[in-house]
Amino acid sequence: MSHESAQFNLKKFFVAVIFWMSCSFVFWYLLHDLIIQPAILISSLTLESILPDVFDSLKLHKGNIVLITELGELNGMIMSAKEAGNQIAYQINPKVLSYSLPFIVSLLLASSDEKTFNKILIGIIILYPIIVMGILFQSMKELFFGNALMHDFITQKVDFPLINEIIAIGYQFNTLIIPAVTPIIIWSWLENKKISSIAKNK
Amino acid sequence: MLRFGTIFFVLLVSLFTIELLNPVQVHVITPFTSLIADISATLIRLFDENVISYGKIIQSTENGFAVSIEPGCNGVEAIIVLAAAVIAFPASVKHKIYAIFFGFIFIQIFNLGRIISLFYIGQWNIDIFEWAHLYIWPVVIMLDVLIVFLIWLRFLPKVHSQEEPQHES
Repeated sequence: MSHESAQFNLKKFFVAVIFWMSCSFVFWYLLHDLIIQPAILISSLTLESILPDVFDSLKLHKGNIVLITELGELNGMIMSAKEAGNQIAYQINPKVLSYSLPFIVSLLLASSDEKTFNKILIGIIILYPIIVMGILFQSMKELFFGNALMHDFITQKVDFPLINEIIAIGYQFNTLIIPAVTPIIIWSWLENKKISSIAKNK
Repeated sequence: MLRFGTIFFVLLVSLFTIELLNPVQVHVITPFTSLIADISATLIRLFDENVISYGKIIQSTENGFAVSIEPGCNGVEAIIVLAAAVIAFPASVKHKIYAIFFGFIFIQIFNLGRIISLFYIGQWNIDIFEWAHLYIWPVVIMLDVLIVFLIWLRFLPKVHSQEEPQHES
């Protein structure tokens, strides 16, 4: 392959990515509630087993996840929801995690010549547990750092070394880096022959 | 591929953890973010006088709309990803330094475009701002990293690829 044709292919690839992104993001947005529901269920079961005294449920409401706790606040004190007569809840935007799905689909549709469907399926299967992990870290971040009173209350209950640091780094990593980078890593792995050919075509 | 992946992942996590350390945030990231805000405001003032910047905030003096450049919006994460990929890939130190240097400039030009566009999109329509800010621009910036990396691969001397088995004539 000549230098010019390699350049042409790269250009073609990026134009195709932009085209497929415009389609797949619309598709993702319209089907988002359906796509994210299993992740909410898995995250809910996990949080229930980790923090049974604190966590109540995760519910999808108008595209966002509502994290409901077993706790309430009364006169500046955190106590059980029954005693307080209210329930502390937080809102999480799962789309900041799941946009990795239309991104990987766009990359693969733009580059793949063969077994495209299989590759997309592999990409989604790898990304889905990562989205679940993102929901877990977002939930933990809200529970531990949502407000100062909750922070004091939960850190007394959960005795785990470096828990604050783990949640802080896990949250930042899962929201700032993972959703945008993982699709590129998966794409590079699934299309590694193409990347090798770019490096060799001098 | 396995070697590249392992080095890339270790570097990515290490560099990102270093970025999050409080002294690094105070002495490097925050001043750098403020500089990005200043540069953005200066560029905007070339065609719109009604803009001020203070710290990491850019504000319209006309309608009060303001954007704060937070972690994830300063392009540092994108540069970390590029640096991790370039360092992990087998190439000479000189080529790696070129890639990181020019990649840094290319990513920051893109990032200034992101900040300025979001500043105006936000004044126009807050729903579209949310879409562009949270979903579209992060993908475009990472695509930018991929562009830089793939172009760099094309311009690497052939000696590096000769180390790997040839599949085609």
